[in-house]
Amino acid sequence: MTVRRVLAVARTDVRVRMARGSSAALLVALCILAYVIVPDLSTGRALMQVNGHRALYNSATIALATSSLCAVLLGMLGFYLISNTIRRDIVTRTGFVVASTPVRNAEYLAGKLLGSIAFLTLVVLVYIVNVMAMQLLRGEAPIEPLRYATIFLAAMGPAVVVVAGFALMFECVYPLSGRFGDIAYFFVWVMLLTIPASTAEAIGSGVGSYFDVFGIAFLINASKPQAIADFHNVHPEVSIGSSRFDPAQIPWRFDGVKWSWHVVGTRAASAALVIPLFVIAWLAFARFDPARVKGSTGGARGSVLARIGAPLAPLVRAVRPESWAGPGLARMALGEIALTIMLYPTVLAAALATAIAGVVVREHALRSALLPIVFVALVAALAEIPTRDRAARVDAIRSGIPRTRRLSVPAKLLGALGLALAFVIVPLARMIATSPRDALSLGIGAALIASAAVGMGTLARTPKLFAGISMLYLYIVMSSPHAADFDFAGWNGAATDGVRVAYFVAAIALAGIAVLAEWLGGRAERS
Amino acid sequence: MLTTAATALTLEAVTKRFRNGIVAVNDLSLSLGTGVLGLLGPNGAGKTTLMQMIATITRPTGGRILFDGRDITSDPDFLREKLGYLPQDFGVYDGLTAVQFLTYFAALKGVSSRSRVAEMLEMVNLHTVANRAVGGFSGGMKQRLGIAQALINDPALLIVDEPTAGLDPEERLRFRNILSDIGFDRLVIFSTHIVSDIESIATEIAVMKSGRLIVTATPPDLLRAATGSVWETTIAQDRFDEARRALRIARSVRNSSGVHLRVVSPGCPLPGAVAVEPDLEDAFIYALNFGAAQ
Repeated sequence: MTVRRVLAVARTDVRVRMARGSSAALLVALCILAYVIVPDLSTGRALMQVNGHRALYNSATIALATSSLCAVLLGMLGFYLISNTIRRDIVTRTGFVVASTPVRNAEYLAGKLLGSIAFLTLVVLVYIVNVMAMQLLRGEAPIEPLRYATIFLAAMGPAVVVVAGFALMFECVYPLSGRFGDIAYFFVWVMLLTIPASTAEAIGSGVGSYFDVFGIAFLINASKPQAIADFHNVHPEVSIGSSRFDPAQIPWRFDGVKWSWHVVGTRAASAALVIPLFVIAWLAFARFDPARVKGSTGGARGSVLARIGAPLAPLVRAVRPESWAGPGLARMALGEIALTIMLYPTVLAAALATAIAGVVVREHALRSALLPIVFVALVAALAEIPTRDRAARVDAIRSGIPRTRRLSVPAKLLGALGLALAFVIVPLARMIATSPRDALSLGIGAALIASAAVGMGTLARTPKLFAGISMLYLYIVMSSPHAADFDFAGWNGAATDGVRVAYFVAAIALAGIAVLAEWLGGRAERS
Repeated sequence: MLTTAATALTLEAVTKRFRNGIVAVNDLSLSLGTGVLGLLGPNGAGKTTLMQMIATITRPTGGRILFDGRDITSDPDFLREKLGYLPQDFGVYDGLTAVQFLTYFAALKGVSSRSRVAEMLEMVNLHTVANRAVGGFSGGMKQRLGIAQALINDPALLIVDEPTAGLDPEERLRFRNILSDIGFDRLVIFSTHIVSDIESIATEIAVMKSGRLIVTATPPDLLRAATGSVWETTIAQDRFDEARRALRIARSVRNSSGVHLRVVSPGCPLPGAVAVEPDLEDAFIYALNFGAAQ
């Protein structure tokens, strides 16, 4: 393996990513994230609390809390951010040139892995700078750069490396290199999040701390010993994230992480998870062979979702979706629904299965199980609607049809809404009878996910932004059954009228973003 | 066989059968030395798959491909060191400059000389835009950048797949001239379905149809084979549809006296038809329709 080739691949990968407009948007988003994640104490909210005492805003507290939150977010969104590095070479066909050069598979993949790690590291560095700026504005102690560096390295290092490894592995392993993989990774992320946390109770000895990719066990093990000593309580309550605090309680000073070989070893072991991921990627890498790469010509394998749906083709033919499309907004929207069904017959079967389940399951199961599953399915069903024309290079053909360009985004919005409603129509009907307000929330939730799919997809020109954010959000909603703010679709029964209005406004705003992004994109192309 | 130089590339009964059962290349054998091979064939003939197999991107499911006597299916790196490849519909990384793009592929090919990058950009006349993002390049400029990356390692074998598709006449001419200049001391395989792309530069032409090699010959031999099989005549407008169905029409021009036809046929196709000298387009149609499969 030559270092020069590896570095050339990595350098080019970072350059290509940095040249995208979305990278600038990402940096702005990181500034906003830092601003939100470190609340101003004068608002009555604090970043971290232990046993009801807010933690003093010093470097140790802010670095530990923000790095943990960032690791969890990066674990989810970072995957979708970087999991197109090999796909890009397939789409541009530069992969064929790469395949014809003497570069070895291991060199190419190591370069791609290194490029992804470098890009994510850059994202983390920008985040750290913003967090430090927040400490300068809102902190109660001087900034200690070394403390930031060590805590972030320990908390986030494994996350950056392993997420890059998962993204590479998912791109190389055929069944995982598409929408199916995007959904599958969500469950990997949940597993990586919950296993270390559940085993971290036995301080330092949990096996899970060796698989603690997102630093959850590290966070618990770093803060609990001091909290136990300070509060004389073997089970202190530690909360991370913006929450209201009692100003009457004396702030708790976190002295920092007590470094030991065990801590360093567990973090190194967690990062080493990248090695098996890389080996799997290397073994599965098809080196752009058109006979083995999805999306190439010449008998290559189709997507997993398409293959699963293949036996349902007779069902699709029976409803003749190809005849639904036509001129005008309504027929164009129907055309979008028809195209989704023709491309993925599974969608039709899933909608029918949901309708049947919606009739037979009990109300509690409908809310706690069926609706969460339906919304996860909707993420997969809707994600490609705004981007598939461009991916299939038919956008120019469509634009040439009279009035199609102007109505394209509204039709996609309407089509996505139609599909979302097709999935929730039976649960909606049941909830109207039992809880009309929650039914209203469910309708708003369907509209929100439809406009989020089209809005984010049109803006980012990739389905991955929507997939990443929506899966993360669905996880938060499922994990917070009593939080009114997160009950966007009413299945937790906690939403207030204000929350409903807020989500309705968000749905309208995302639809507006879709229209605006399309208009700006079209103007840029014309100029 | 191309020129009198030693055989560089040998294909022995090469076959590619895809998982879905489609046979893209069927039992194809060929020996090539140096020079420019024009690989002609209609869309779907198997040209791209054949080139991908030679470029070591996909493996044959049958047969062998030898380069300088070495089997590249089992030892692909032997050829990759000496290979330049420009795939069909070649794309670029929009955000990179021409220099960055070329330097990247130079590194992958083990070329470390910066002057080589500058030299290549000058050769393809992109040196004046060397530091501009390639996303803003025209189709022709991107193709020239593509040929620059293919040549950066001074390859002994250059494979270009439909490189002139979508280019304007001026860019096509420029591209042909570049290939013509470099085809003297190496083997260049130029795939196209447009005869005029290769008629002035190909030292040998191979015609493919349905995965099989129909004929390999020098352009004069290809023309000779079609001599006496190309005819011109004028027919009434109302007989044109019938003629189009029954005959291999190379060209048709409507005029005041009817439709003037140029027909490729082994025998006189219509009463009054006059035999004319074939051009390479006619010879291609003749080979495709009346040439014997290898």
